[in-house]
Amino acid sequence: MDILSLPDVFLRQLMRKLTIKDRMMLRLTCRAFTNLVSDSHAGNFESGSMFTYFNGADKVDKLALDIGEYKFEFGDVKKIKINQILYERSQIFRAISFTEFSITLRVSGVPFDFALNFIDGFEINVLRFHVNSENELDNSMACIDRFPRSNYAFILKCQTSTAKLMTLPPLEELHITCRIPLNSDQFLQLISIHKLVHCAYYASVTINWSELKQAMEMISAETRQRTARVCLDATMISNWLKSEGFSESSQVGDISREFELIRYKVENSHKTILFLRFRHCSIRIDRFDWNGGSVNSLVSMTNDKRLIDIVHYYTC
Amino acid sequence: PNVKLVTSDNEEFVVDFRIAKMSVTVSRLMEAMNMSETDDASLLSNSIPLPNVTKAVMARVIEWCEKHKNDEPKEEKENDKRGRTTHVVSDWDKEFLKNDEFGRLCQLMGAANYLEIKGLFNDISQTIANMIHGKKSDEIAEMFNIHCDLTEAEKKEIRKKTAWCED
Repeated sequence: MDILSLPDVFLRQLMRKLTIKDRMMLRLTCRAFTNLVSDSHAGNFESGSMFTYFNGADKVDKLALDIGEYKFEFGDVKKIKINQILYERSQIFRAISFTEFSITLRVSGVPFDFALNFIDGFEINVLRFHVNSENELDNSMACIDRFPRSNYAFILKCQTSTAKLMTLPPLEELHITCRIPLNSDQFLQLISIHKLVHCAYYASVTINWSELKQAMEMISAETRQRTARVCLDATMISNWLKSEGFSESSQVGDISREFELIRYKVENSHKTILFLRFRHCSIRIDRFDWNGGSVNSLVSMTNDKRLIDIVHYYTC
Repeated sequence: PNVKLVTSDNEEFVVDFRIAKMSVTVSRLMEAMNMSETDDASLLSNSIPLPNVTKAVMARVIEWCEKHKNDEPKEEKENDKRGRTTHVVSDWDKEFLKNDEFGRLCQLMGAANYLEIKGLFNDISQTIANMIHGKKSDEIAEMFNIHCDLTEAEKKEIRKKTAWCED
């Protein structure tokens, strides 16, 4: 039986199940497959990324693309021929789906528009931008209109004004990895807007215990999934918990006011993970020490208790 | 309760109601003919004509459905270690399909498509994809009897233009 005589629906289903490499081989078999490869959907991939990196051996910045199982090199960013790459991409698939696709353009030389043109036709559930400059932030924000069917995650690695931060549209994830000062009202506002807010930079958020409790109340009362993670002084956290009636001798299951101690995970004397519950808000405190100390604790709060064990793995 | 299915070559298959319901096409036809699980008379007095499926292929479809009748509905969300979202063909399904030559696989795929049995359709298309996986273009052409109408120069050009896709 001639494979090309199969109904179109069969062939297109088959094309969704082939790897990129297999598609490349198939297109060399005959003209009909060359056309089918370029005009078909390449299937679903869990993750993909476009990124620049410094190649130490060649001492140049290179542009590369990850699609599931393969890493494709475009070479030196200063020498890439953008239109040629866009044309070649169109020869390999018409569309492709990703659960998550991230764009990291650390160096100048790769126009942001090129990245957007390259992913034109991609079906992306979460489009993740690693934002390294104010300009990229503007571009990323503008991109939201261009791919309205996607959800977005921003990893902010550059300084920007708090005012601009507050104008971001609702995001799947907002990671702030540099010092952008936020007061408690602004922190609460970010939690209400975005599904996940991660303030990784120590002391970026100025917040006291009653305001942190307010964040917990807000997360607990939210019907939409909400998660927040903030880096705070360990001594403050320890003092706050003591003021709520907990101590080093507290046992799992102890309830004090509206908090319940769910479990302890002691890794060593300076590395304790504490799990608490406040109404519908699950709380996880990493790097906790009853004696406080100079380390910074990470406080994670979520109204989806399934996330509390994995929230730790949210990375930038 | 049982349902009667009649193939294009007039062979009658009597199958369990649950198996008949695995086909979206049969389900729709039963609904249109007011056949319900609780109404034995409606099941006895009617049969479902399936003019696009032969006796031999129907027997294979029923064998597959018998095996999978108690399966939980599953999402296509099983990732292989390289991040690809793939349909995983179970060991039983591999064994079930392994002796089918390509032509028979296509007939079965045609029946699965017509009957709208998604699991079987995906199993077969993934099996064909697995047959192609890792092979060179000339090996694929030989396996499927494809006559190559590309010139060597064209092939060279295609390879050159997509060099960034090669390992």
